[in-house]
Amino acid sequence: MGNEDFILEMSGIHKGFPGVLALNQVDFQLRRGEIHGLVGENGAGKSTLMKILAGIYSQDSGEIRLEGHVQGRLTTRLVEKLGIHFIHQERQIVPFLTVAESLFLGMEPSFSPFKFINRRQLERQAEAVLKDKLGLNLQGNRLISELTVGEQQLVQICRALLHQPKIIVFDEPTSVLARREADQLFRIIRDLSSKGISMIYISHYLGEVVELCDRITVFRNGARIDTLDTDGLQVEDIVFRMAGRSLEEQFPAKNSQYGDPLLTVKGLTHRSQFRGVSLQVRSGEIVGVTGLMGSGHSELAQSLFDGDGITAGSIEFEGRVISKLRPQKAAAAGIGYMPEDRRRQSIIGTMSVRENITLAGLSGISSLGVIRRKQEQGKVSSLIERLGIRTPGSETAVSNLSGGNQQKVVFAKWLNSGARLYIMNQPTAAVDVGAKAEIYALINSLIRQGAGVLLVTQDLQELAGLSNRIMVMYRGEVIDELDGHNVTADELMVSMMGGRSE
Amino acid sequence: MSKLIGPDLTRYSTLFALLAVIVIFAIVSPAFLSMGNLSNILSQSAVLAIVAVGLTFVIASGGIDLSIAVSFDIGAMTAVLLMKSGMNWLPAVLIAIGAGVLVGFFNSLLIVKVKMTPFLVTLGTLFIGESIEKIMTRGGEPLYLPGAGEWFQFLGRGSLFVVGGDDGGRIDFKFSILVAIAVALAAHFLLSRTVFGRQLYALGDQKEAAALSGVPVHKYTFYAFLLSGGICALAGIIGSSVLTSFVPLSGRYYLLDAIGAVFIGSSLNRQGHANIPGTLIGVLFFGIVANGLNLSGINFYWQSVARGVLIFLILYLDSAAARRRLRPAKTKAA
Repeated sequence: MGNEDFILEMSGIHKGFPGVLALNQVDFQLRRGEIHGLVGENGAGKSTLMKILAGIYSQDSGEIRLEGHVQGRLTTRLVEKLGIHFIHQERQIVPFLTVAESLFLGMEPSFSPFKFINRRQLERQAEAVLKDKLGLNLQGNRLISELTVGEQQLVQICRALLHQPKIIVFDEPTSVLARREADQLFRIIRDLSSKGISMIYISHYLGEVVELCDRITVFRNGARIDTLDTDGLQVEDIVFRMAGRSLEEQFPAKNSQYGDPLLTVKGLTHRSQFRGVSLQVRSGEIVGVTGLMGSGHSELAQSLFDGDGITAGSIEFEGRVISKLRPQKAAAAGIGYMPEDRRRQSIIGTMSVRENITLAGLSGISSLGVIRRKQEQGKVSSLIERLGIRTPGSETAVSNLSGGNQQKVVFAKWLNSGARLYIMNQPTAAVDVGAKAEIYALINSLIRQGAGVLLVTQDLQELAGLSNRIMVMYRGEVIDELDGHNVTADELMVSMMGGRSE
Repeated sequence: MSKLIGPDLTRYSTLFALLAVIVIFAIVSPAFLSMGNLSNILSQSAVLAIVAVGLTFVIASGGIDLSIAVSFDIGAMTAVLLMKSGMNWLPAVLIAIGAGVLVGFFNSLLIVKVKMTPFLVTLGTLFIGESIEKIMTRGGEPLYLPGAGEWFQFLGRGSLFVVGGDDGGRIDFKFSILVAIAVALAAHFLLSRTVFGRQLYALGDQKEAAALSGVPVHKYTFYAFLLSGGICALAGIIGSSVLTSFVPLSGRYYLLDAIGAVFIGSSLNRQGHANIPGTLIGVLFFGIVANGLNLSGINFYWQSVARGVLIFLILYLDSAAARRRLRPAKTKAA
């Protein structure tokens, strides 16, 4: 049945999560020895597809063929046995192992029947293998934590090569690499491809994808949109397919009638992350803040709520100066903060939807410190309905909800606390596509009711689609302010890189 | 559906174990189920119950308090010393509770301000506190309180009512049981009905998220340790009333049982939270096991071994339950 050209065929893959269809009848074919790029927005489905291939999720329906053989239920261990390997940033190798140890981790017995590890011999072996497989000169006794991220990655790749891989999947490999390291990685990938190993390459850097890959598959909203040959392909062609026509419709019309200033920040300076930041958010206004990774915008968002690390500058909220800002003070004043890391900073996973929603606004439903249960239940029920939170009930543990619905719970939490200014740090990160539009609609309704929003995000479409004004940060300083009503992603990009757009 | 049954079975396995233990003891020793013996178990559990209730606050806040043994002893010692010096029982008891609160204050100061971990801080307090006890009692001699007032003696020894006369059927409901019930009710109200309780659980589960939701994390951590110190001192005072003396290092005896009881309790809770009804079940568990082993005539040292095995078993069940709780959360994150 299977085509001999294809080492991997995934056909009709279907995968749903509570409230969202992550993959809808996706077909994907990987040729022998090709470098195949996967592109799409966050939540478009490419990661889900790869997690199914990795055996982390199992598909609801659909078939996976490896070298023509239909595979049953995949597990992470089985996948490795079949010769499929994954290289990504998150699955770090143990930092306090040496290069040699991490290279041969779990395979030591092959060197000695007594599981006795000869350290020096192992290190020499490692150096030889690294030189032979990747042409790399790396000392076998160095600690992983002493290596650059690029070198760590190469050790991971080399480790995969020791297992006679058939397919290697690279998940955002270059996002943290220096240019020189990225070039070295590309050389290695091309070399491996010429040796007949097939590669799947996931990246947001489209230019890089076009340059490196033989073919590209574009995902959008859980569906495979197109598979294209990269010969003569332009980045614009991919962008067009990634965004689709729904781009315009995703964002609600912008409000341009502002009220009084809510938040006025002057000369705010952080111990290490940002300096001299001044900005103002008015009622009914969305002010976007962005920058490259590490520009200080994310820290700014959190410091405006918890006051951490602030060494100079003033913060005024609704005309009153807040000195010594603390989370409690900010919450009580009417500021709500939606952190970037939802699982760690935003929700209490073990607690119920109800308990999470009322956590920041308990004073409004209690007297003398005693919670009025009925009133709480009433408020929670109406918020669940109003925000369309998809949950089996108000007593469900919030960790059982999908990312988008968890984020809606966080919205409900600050709505319930009576917040008038919302500081949102990457509000749609790890949120599925369907929920994104709902969240945008939610933000819009907050604005129409007179709230102000400080939107901190690196999602440029989101930034341009929602913001009235956009502040661009670069190396800890605000270097640019753009009008959000007619800004393009290109202008934003140029500005973020540190170049003035005017 | 199967997802629901899994963790629930694990949750209730502690209860099944308790039932099994009761049945076994009832078979081995007929006297076990007599009303007289059951009331005995209650009175013998009262002091541990109070200690465990105090500890529940700290464990709910995500911490641990090993110094409850010291709060217990400091409470007993302060009360006995003050009364020995001629002070009236009521102010002596109040000051003694204050001494326990002070132990909690010392702990939380190091935890919140110096940012040390609760385990290390309270372990240190345990060492220091027990050494101070030895210094104050010439190496650990009991401090007797021969002329203890009636009121003070009533705290630990007094009976609310006695039914029946002969030894086997004699039901003796001690005043200390009432104290334990009152403390437990108040604690339960605090934990389950108030803003403090709700936010304490939140910070215990996910401190950073709680802080970024405006929960006064430091203040409530303080409160938890103050409550733990004060309540355990009260338990110590009642203990000293039972013995009409202060026996140094006697708080130690309650330390592991209290921790075990609170963990049994949290394993019974759907969210894995330390909670008062659960803690009381845990306390009864230990009370029943101690009593039943006693009746079965098993060597005292083997009884400790049995308790230790039980704690292991329960911690195992608890971690199994925790693993199950975590699993669905992981796979559903898309």
